[in-house]
Amino acid sequence: MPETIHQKYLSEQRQKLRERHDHEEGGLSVAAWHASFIDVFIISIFNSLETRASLGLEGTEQSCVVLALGGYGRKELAPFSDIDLLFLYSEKIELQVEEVIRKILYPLWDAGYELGYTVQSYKECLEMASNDPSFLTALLDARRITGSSPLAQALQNDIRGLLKGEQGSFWKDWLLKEQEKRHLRYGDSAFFLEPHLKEGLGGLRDIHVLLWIGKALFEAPDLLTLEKVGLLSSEDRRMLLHSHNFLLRLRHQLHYLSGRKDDRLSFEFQEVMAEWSGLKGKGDILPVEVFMQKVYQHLQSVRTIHQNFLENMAELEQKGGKNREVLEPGVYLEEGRLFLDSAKVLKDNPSLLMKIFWYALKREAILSQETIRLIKQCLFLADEGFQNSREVSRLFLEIIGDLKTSRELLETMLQTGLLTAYIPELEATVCRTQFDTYHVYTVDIHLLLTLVELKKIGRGYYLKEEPLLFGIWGEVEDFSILYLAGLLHDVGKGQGKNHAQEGAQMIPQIAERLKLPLQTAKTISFLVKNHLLLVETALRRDLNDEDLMVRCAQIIQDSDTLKMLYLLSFADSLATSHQAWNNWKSMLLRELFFKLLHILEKGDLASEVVLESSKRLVLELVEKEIPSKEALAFLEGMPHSYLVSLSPEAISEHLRLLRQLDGKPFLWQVEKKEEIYEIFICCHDRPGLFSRLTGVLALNNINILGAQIFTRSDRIALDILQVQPPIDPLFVEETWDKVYEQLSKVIEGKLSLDYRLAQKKPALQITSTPITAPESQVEIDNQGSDFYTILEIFTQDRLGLLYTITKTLFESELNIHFAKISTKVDQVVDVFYVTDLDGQKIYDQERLDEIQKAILFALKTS
Amino acid sequence: MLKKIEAIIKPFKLDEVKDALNDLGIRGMTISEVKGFGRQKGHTEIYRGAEYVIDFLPKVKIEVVVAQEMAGKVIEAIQKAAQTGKIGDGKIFVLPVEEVIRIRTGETGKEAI
Repeated sequence: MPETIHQKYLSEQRQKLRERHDHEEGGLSVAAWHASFIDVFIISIFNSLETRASLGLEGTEQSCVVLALGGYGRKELAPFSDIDLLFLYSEKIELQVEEVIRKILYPLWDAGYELGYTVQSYKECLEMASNDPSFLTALLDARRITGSSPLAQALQNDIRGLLKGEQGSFWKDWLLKEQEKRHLRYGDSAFFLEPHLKEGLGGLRDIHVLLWIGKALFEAPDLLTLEKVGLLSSEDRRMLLHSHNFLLRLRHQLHYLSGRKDDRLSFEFQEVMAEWSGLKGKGDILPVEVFMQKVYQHLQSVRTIHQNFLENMAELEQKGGKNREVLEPGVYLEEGRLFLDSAKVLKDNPSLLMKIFWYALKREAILSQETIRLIKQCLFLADEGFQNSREVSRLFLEIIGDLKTSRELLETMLQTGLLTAYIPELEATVCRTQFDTYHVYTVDIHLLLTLVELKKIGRGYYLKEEPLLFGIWGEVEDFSILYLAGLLHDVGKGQGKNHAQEGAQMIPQIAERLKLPLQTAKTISFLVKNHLLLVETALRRDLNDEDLMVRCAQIIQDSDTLKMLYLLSFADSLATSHQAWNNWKSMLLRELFFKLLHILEKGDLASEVVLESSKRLVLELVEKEIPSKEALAFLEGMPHSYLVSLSPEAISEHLRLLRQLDGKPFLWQVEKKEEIYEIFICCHDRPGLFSRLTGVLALNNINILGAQIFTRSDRIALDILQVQPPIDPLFVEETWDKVYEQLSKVIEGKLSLDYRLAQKKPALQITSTPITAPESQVEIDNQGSDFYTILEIFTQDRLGLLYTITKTLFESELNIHFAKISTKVDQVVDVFYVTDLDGQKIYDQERLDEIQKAILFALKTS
Repeated sequence: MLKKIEAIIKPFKLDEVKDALNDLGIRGMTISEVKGFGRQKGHTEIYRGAEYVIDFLPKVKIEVVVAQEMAGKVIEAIQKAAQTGKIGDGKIFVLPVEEVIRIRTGETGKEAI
């Protein structure tokens, strides 16, 4: 045949292949058909007498056989799969043969096939097979296309002989190790989202492994024979065939879509593939999510059958093992596997359904395939009585509460259906996917992984990268709360818009069946409801907004809950996807954690309830005089710290006073409180007013003990000062009047404080100058508070000291929020909580240095 | 002429900035999670005796390439959206871009952005 005819044949056949695929023929038959027309093609291009003679394919004593290897050998040829050929010669051959072969095979390359071929002598081939297990594996699929049958038969026999000996177990170990490596690589969460149909978990390769083991070790050429040997149940065999067909068909479509050998169901193809599959969406579930759910179900099914197969094989090899240990009547342990005598044991004692997992945990064993089958058969026993049993609850809590509980054990509990039978609320989460790059795992697996991540934290797994987690772990009081919250936090997924809220509402009924104390149930419910609070706040909110932090702390209420929420947030994020979580996000989360912790540990946090009732009280107190709308606006405008630290009576008094402010420079009020006086002063934010007030008080020999300064959002300032009583107890009222009058004058510019204080000074200095005056000190503390820079000033007491300091702070463009003034003999410690004029902590070191120097200078010269 | 605009902003401002750029018709941008410090320095937390150093602060970097005519508007939009008036609001860098090539089609210049 001239070359063009070959080409034409190939392109026609490939066209037909496409049609067969489009006519929804099963994946296996399309792939087999593909392989068979390639067979015909290869036979035909080697058909000329001359060629056959030169290659040793002619005559009765053929010296060569052409074998198909790999997927082509298995007749599992996808549209763009590789074609692997082996030219096997009985004796060593001349080199030019290879050249001849290459020329003949050209049309296949031209047609776009990835073609690989080897030319080997029989001896070389056997040698390589015994040295290279991957080559040995390829030979397991070898299929004669043309040439010497006796040679092909001989190879098959020799390979079989090779595998019967030591080579067999060596090969098996290699295969399982390779598989482990492959699963590790393709079982990564990234591949979960975009599954690799061939190499991934539950992919085609897992099916091939079964077939290879069958061929190599059990002389089983197909699945049916494997069933007869007892390695596959007939149900598993049927399912495997079904999934094999499905996955192959998917792979073919993927090849056609991308126009090349592409076996990964990546994002860009998922929606097109879903459309091609014809699956429809359900309610708010997208078609692509329905499609992917189906894909996952097949992959999961292959994976489970694959595991069952390997388990069966291990059990088969151990049969007759004598180390049987009876754990209780009907339950025994053999070689690390748990067995049940019969279904009757479960029927007589349903709580054994749970207890068998408890045994698995305590004895570090796994459930045998037989036991798993029995549990699946007996799930109907997990009825209401089982769900409400105190004994079962105790076992269940012990299982999920143990640090050693492995992911495998939890997955077995899920796969047998026991977990959802015990907690039916979890059913809606099974195999549920979300079409986005963030949610890597199906919800059910995600819940188990969250629990596993919590245990990893507890085992110190993140000690190096996140030491804080482990420290906090040590302070958790009740781990069952944390674990149950981890296992159930997404139980509301699929129940409506706000899954956290929905989930929290489902907790009480679950907790009641599990016989949990009411308080425990409440805490779990709270954690479920707020499991996104920390992450969302950390990533999307301004952590320097004090009021926001306080509100957040208020929701959480106590540091124990905060700690659990922090651990849960971490485990949840890590279980969502290790890729999506990183050090950058964890830094934000940690910053939020510390801020909330500081607020909560200071302990002066009123709950929302207390705050609301305080507001209500104020409203009641002023009900008759002030419209509630105006009063409420006032309360909303006040910083949180104001509402928390003052009594409703004081607040309503301030409110009354404020209403008279209209146009006046300032208003004030003095009240005697036990031994001290409290001055309340309000004004339109007038920078420096506080400083001037301290000056006027100094002028009148009044000592200041402390001060709080609040600024409303509408720039009205409220200053509250605690002061010592005037020196002269007889003329108290007159003194206050004088202070008021002087302050007015200062504001109007009719009184110079600096001058008056200087005038006053000499008289006092004679009596108060100490012999040794220690240096003044200014310390800046930026750690003590999350929102303020703290200035601590140590110096000698003197007249007008506070005025000097506050004036310097004013000139440095700082706002004072709190001040605490204490005097020991003649040594003063003044503490100021300050921010810049925008209300922010000062971070700029240069500016901090300047402030320090300015204060020291002022102290020296005043 | 094309300009590349790189903005370092506070993480929680990302959505606002993104929306502002979308409103201008900017459809493509590159976002990365970065760490660093400027005048706003990190600090150290002490928890139960153990020190946790927060030396670099988490920020978001946005990169957009636009035609020169658009650059002013983009800068203004970013600045407006990312501003809180407080320390650590970030910075905007503007760089000249010599050429842009869309890998798929080979288009260049304005067509490719």
